[in-house]
Amino acid sequence: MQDKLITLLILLPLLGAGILLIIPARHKEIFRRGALLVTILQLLIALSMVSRFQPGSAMQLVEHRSWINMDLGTWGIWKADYWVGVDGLSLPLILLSVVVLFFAALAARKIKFKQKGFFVLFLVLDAAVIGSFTAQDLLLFYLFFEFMLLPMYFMIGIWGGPRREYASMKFFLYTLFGSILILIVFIGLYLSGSDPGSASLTHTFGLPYLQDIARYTPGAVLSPDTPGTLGWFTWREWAFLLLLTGFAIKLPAVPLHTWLPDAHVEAPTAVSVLLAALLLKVGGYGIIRVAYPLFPAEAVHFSWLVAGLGVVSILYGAFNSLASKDLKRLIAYSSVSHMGFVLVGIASVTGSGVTGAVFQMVSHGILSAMLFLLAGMLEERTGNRLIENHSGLSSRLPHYTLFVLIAFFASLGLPGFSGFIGELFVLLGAFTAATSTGYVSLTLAFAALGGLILAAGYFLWAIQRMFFGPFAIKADQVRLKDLTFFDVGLLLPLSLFTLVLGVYPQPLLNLINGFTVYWLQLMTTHQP
Amino acid sequence: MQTETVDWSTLALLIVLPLAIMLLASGIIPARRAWIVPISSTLGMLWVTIGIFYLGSKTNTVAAFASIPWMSVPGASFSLSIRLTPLTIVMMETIAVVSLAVHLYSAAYLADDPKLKRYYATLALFTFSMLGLVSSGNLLQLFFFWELVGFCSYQLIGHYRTRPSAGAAATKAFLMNRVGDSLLLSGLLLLYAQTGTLDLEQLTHLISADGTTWVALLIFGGVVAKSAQFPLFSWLPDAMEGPTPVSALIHAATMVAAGIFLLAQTHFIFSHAALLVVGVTGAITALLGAWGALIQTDIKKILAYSTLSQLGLMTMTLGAGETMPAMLHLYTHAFFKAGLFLGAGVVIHALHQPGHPDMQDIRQMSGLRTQLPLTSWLFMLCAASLAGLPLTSGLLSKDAMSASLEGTPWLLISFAVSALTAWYTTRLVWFVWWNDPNITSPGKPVPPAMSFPLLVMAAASLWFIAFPLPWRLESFIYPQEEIHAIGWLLPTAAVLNTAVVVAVILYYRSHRQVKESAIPSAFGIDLLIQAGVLFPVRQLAAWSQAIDRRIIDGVIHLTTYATVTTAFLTGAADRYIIDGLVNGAAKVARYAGWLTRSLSGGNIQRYLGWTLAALIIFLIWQNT
Repeated sequence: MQDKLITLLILLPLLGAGILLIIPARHKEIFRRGALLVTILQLLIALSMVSRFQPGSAMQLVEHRSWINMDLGTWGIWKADYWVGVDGLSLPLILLSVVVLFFAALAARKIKFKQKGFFVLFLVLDAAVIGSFTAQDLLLFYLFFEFMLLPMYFMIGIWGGPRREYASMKFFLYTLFGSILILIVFIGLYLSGSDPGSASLTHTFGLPYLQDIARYTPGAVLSPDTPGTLGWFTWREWAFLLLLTGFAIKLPAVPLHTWLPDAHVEAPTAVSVLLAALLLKVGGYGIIRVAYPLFPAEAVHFSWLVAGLGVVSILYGAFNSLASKDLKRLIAYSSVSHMGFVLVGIASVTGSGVTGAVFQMVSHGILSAMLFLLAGMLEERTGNRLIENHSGLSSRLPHYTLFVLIAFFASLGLPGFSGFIGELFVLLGAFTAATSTGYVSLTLAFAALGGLILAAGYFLWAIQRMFFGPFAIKADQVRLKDLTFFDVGLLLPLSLFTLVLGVYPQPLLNLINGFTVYWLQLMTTHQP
Repeated sequence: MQTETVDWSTLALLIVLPLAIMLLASGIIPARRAWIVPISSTLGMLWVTIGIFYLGSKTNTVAAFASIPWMSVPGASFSLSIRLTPLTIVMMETIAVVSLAVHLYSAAYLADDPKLKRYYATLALFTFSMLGLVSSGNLLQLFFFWELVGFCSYQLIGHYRTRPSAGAAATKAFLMNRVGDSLLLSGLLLLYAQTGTLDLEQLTHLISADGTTWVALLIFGGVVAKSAQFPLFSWLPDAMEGPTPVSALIHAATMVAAGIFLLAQTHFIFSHAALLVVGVTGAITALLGAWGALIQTDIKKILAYSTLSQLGLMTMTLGAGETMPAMLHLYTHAFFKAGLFLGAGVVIHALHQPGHPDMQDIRQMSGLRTQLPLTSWLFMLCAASLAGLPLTSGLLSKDAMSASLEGTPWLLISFAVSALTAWYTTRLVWFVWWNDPNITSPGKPVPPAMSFPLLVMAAASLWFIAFPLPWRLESFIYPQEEIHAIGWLLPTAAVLNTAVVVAVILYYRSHRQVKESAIPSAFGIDLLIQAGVLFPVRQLAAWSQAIDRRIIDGVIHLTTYATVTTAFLTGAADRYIIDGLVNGAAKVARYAGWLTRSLSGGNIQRYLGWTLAALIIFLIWQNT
């Protein structure tokens, strides 16, 4: 049965973008309202998806149609499908996406010029993000993955801060470099596997097909039985490493992360929110969805590397946060640190680790959205974000301080908020792996724990410097006013999300659990 | 033991609901009607207290459990469960009573505070978290509340946010506790990885009789920070930055009590080696704390170090493998220490002059008994219990610990700390209440909301709080079969403590000056942490940033420049050599445009070129 709900979810923003394109640019207000309307409709669609979703391992709401089918003579048939669906990994991230997109569209009212261009790009990005989280065909996935790049490039490059050109170019080059690596592997996979429904020469980009080892043509480049090596590694090991690198740039993992602080610092608030809350998740999603299931033996072989990258990101990101003088930079590096937990969870290849990694992505999506909104609100009020320029804000901005406290403590993993649950299960996975399979060594598991202490360090130190003490501000333009009704409207729902997920996470865990079981099966049954 | 399931609705009605209402009320009530908050909160706390005593009366002799599923993932699941044993009931009652006293007391002490609503909301959350902690049936749930307790103490220690020192003390308290929390969490996760459960009841059956060492030590790491044991104790004296009633709560029934309680709950996990570490840590803390109390001049800091010392004694007793005596002392200590802090609060409140910092130095407050007669006697009653004079609960609970340590080397330390305790307590009492009066200002009258809780705490410092008879160890908390041979210990301790008190009084009658101490704060531990932990961490942070800026970005910039330069050279070669040869000058102008294009987008073209190359390479492999 072909389900059209996901297609609707992807097409809606594209349609909206098309309509916005033909509206004259002078109707400034209409663009944001249009984008907002689209995101509201998407929220409703996503909710109906949740109501129809049966928690379990199967891919659901699937739409699978032939897309490209071109005969290339002796090179076989070039075949790619339009194939979308959701499961326990996609659905939480889609829910996160529609929620964050809605709040980003709200926050984007601070965009004061070229509204038309901004919201058209916003909607294109919207479609690409949803597409990435649902595509089941590698070519389709790659297209959506690449399509996120351009809108983001322009959104930072045009609406960004003083160093926007440098930041946007850096972001673009970094990510493009990663995409190329991913594309190389996808092409290799395409040439190595075959579509079950057609003649033997028909290759496939279908992800579920390629997860099945029986589908690989014996002797093909990335077929598990090919003994070929290049340098130290086999072809498949290289392929895994390329995929890991490509997705690790997006995640980002140290040392492939330096685009992130620059991009975040220069991007306008709404764009920072999208970048941190959604685009980083595509990296984690790619590793869970593509890299691990397609190369299970190689992934396990390199689990020390994945866990190591994760732990280095956790600690290195935290140290950089501690050294940051700019609040937004501090938050950006904390993202690096928190996304490191995702890698550690995946590397453990345990039920709790993987569920924890997905949970951590959702939780970080909510929290980073909140953190960047808060950083933006500070900049609106004092015109700068330097920590040293602020002191004793608590006495003048009590409501703002309250939300900062919530966001900071939730981010540093205080029980009762979602951050704790994600990190708890990731660490449980790491310690379980350390005492059983050894995929994450005990040393690394303990080192990851250091991230919890450092997170408390940089967040509390920032609070101490900015909110405690006598009131003092060094700034050119000060319009000190506590949170407006609108600001509270942005922050309160996000606070409630993180609180509810932190106290009673089971509904979200239920969504994820079915996928985790299926994923663990993929990882174990397909080990050669 | 008989098992009985507690009805969740009873629990919610008696404890959760009123505390939630208190929390909400503090948020909803408008700022100009903030005076309602202390009243509503105190009444709410009264309801909770009655509820707990009601619950206790129903489940005094049986352990009661209730459990609902909480979180589950493939391969792991946790439930929420309530486990009420006679011990936890006593703990809950203590928490409720002390918290109620602090609620009432704060209504007067903080009457003019602009942040009254926030204060009471945090107080409610603090109490709720502590109640949740002691009634938790599994260790993950306990950890959940454990960190919340830490958060609340952060908020309350940093209550006076405009004071930089309050912010620093709050951050220090949370960070030190975070270190302990991380160790505790890793211990719990390892325990779960090994046994597959964190349920206390199931764990008692799963752990072998010898216990474990590493997991136990990691758990103890959490205890060290929470109960301010050596070397993570320096946050506790600094925590005096918080309002005084908060100190009473933190030192008596919440926060620091949590560590001792956890140790008692998990004592079966500890191997002999681990217990030895526990005992030595406790002994060091007990002695250091007593020494600290002896040399401090700030009334609250003396009490803080005294708490350290008493907690050290309890930890040492637990290290010797004795649970009940340590818990008994935790129980009696809660009341007399809360009383001492509330009394100190009366002094600070009475001497407070608007616009001046609080006066807390005992060298400036001699002879206050003429001005605050009732407070002085109540304070001295609590102090007598701390010093271990006859007829007090302190003597009996300390003696219970000594009795359980009989025949071990720990006994000596226990006696030494007892004597030191009597010494510093007498010194404190002498200089605050008895020495020649040198303050002439009459001081403010003591509001009944402050003297009444103090009166209750002072009364609870006497023997009957735990024992029917002042000369026997039998009590409702201390099962008959656990009483060791006592004989000579009790009278000896009583005589010794009294002798020390008398000797110290006689000494200070002739030496009326308090000497300035040259010992750095927290015995130099703070300096050590500064130099050995904070400095390296900051250095690492600075290095990380330098690596980011110089090395990683450096490599990237270098690659970019190299690419652009190559593009430029290729372009130049194209223009000058090839084109020059072939087409001459006419074409140069046309290619200038191409050159600039390759300059600005050199990388992108390069990457796309690589893509194409990769595609071709794969296609060739495929066909060969």
